[in-house]
Amino acid sequence: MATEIHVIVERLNDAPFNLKLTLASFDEKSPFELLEIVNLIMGTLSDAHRIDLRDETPERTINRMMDFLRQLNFKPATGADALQFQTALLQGDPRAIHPMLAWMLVRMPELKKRAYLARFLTPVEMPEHMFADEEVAELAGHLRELQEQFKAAHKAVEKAGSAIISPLEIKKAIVQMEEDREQLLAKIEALDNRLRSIDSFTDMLDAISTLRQEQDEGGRLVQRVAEQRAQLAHAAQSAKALQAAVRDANAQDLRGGGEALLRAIMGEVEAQRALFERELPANIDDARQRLAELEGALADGPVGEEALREARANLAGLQAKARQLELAQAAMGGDGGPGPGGASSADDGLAMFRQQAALISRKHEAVRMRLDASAAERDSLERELMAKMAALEEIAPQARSAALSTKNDDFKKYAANLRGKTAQYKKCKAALAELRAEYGLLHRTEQLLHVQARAVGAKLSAVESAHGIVGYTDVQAGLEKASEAKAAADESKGQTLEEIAVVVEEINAQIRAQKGKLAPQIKELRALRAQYQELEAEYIDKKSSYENTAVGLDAELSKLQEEVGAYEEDIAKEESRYHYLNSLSQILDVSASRARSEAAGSTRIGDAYAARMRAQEEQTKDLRAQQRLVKENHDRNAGQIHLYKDLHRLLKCKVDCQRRELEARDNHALLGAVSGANVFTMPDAANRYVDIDGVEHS
Amino acid sequence: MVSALKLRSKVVVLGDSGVGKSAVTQMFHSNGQKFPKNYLMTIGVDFCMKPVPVQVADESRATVELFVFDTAGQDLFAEMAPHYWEGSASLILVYDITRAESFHNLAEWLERISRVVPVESMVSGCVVANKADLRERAEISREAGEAFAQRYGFAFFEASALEHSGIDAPFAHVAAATHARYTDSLAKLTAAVS
Repeated sequence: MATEIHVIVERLNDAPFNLKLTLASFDEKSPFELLEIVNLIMGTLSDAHRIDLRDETPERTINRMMDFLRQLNFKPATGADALQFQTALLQGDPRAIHPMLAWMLVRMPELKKRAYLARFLTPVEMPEHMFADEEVAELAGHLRELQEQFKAAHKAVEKAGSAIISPLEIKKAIVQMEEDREQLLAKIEALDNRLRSIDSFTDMLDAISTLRQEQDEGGRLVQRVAEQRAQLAHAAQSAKALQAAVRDANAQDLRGGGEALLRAIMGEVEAQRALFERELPANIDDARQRLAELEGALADGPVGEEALREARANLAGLQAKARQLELAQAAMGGDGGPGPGGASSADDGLAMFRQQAALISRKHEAVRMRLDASAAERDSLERELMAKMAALEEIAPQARSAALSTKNDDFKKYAANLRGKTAQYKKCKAALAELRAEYGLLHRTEQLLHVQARAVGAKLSAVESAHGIVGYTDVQAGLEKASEAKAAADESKGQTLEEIAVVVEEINAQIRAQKGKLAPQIKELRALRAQYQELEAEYIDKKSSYENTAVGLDAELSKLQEEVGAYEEDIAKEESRYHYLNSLSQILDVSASRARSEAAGSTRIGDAYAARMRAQEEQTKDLRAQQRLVKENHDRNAGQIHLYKDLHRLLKCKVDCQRRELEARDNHALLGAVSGANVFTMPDAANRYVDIDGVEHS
Repeated sequence: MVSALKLRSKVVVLGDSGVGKSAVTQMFHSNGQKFPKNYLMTIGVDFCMKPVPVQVADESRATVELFVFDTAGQDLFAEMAPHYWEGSASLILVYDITRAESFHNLAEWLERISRVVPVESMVSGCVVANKADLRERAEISREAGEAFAQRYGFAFFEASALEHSGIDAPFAHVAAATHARYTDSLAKLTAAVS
């Protein structure tokens, strides 16, 4: 059990978990934390288990874990069935989880592979009746096939993985090589140093270098020998081939067709030779003559209009002659003159002359055109010259001589200058041409080198890919660069360290100096410290005693204050009471004085009260009598009130009626005055009113 | 430790017989618990004491103990009453708004007490118009009462002992005035000493 936990903690502290656990802290983990660890391990085994436990229900977690453990082929400890194990897991029982953790952690890589495979190779559980469906059956078959394929592919991958040398190893090898190289360099340097100490070193070096050269030369010679041998072999081969050809030709010869061929060739050669010996020299002579003529004509100077006309006449004459000759020839042809070969040669010559004539006439034309142009130009120039001369004469006839002399000098100088410049120009031009040629050469070389470099690169990459180390050269280059950078960094670091060392030494020196200075003060300080301690002890003693006293006094003070408060309250109460009692006593005093005054003979309140009572009783009696009287007369008086009220109403009514009548009369009078017709006159009513009035008054 | 300030003041309640002096006093003393339903004539004097807290600007508490002398209004006791008035500091005049006579007699009551303690020397005084619940039978208007109070520099209050409304106000006024007078004289004293 203990070793199990040991193993678990050790593995959890290693990569990839790095949990930094101790035995105690692992032992104190709560069930939930244990499950979290289990989940963490499962997460590293398979990405499907990278889930936060707080995000799912415990039942789900346990089901997921149980499924996974089944995939990993984990068997719980003997004597526990799966159900028991599941409940133990759900409760986070360490007795169940610890063995499982140990089991998983010990077999990490194996389980990782298994988890990876399980994802693809676990058979899908399906009820039997589902296979009745064709599509499902087909899919299942497809799945099985794919699984087989996957197995094959996985195996191949594994094999490939074991075959490929890891880059790490390559790097290691590179490092090894670098080290070797450095060692060799060191060795060389050592040797160099040792050799330098010998006197005849330079001679020896020369001898050695010549030896080297000779050795190289020897190598080259050997190579050349080999090459030449190869060439020899080649030549021998070609010789063999030629001999074979000769043999073939001989064989043909023997067959007899070759003689006729040879004869034909011979005839041809003869004809050619005749042409060469007879016709061509004649033609050449003619051409030369013609050329001389033309040159003569050209040498006569610019061809004038007359000369041209002459030439034309000449030409016409010649043409006529030619025509005559042609005619004569035709006549001769008709006579059946010389052989066809001769006639043809004459014809040839004529055609050639014609051609030449045409050529010459064309040239003439061109020359004439040029002449015309030149003449025109000359005319214009002459005109210009004339104009300039005139201008010159006009401007400065007197300064002409001087100007002419200076002009001549200037011109000479200018000519010399120009000559020099020309020479320089020519030189420059030559140099430029040279440079151009060199540039072309170099450009070509560069191109060639580029092509070579590309070829070499391609070859290198091909070699790399052949050896399965693609990018090796790049890596090496990168490594070299990195090592250079590192060297630079190391150097700077070293410098910094030295600087720091210097600074540290300075600081140390300062510290020493300061220590020396401080020593007497420290001594003094020690003495003072002892004194201080004494004083402090004393101070603490006194302080404690002071505090004790202070506490006592404080307690006393608060007690006293409490007492004072209580007393003050008492005082207030007593005062209140005193005042209360004082008031009462005042009242009593008054009562007493009253009593005394009553005793002395003044009227007693009781008597006064009794007298008043009596008076009141008498009053009561009177009032009772009055009440009785009222009660007795009540009905009668009430009736009378009623009658009076009626009467009052009646009278009021009468008053109203009379008022209305009066108003009506006023209105009527108004109307009569306006319209002159008596419409609403009620004289009876007016009389009655008077009557009633009279009755009332009576 | 600052003990709460405690002041004492003698208050006399004056007014005609039956205006409700005893009712007002008893309602004040009992916090509205005891309203005398039946008229019981006061013989000589009724006496009670009650501490009244005073609102003070600062945090310190102050109470004024009021010693209330509820003297009889019956002219039967007119001879004795002046003896009870001696040494009084405050005055509460009560009249019945339904009886104009009780209001008109206030002046006479003032004159009477002035013979014992000059009204000018008193700390405070107020006029209470009692039986405010019988407003519809009022014979004396509030304005008349206020005018009277103002004439003597008294405070005016309307009260109804029956409804227990406005009862505490006059007493609170007396207590506050007492406290103000105390602090005034204290300040004057300290100023004089320093």
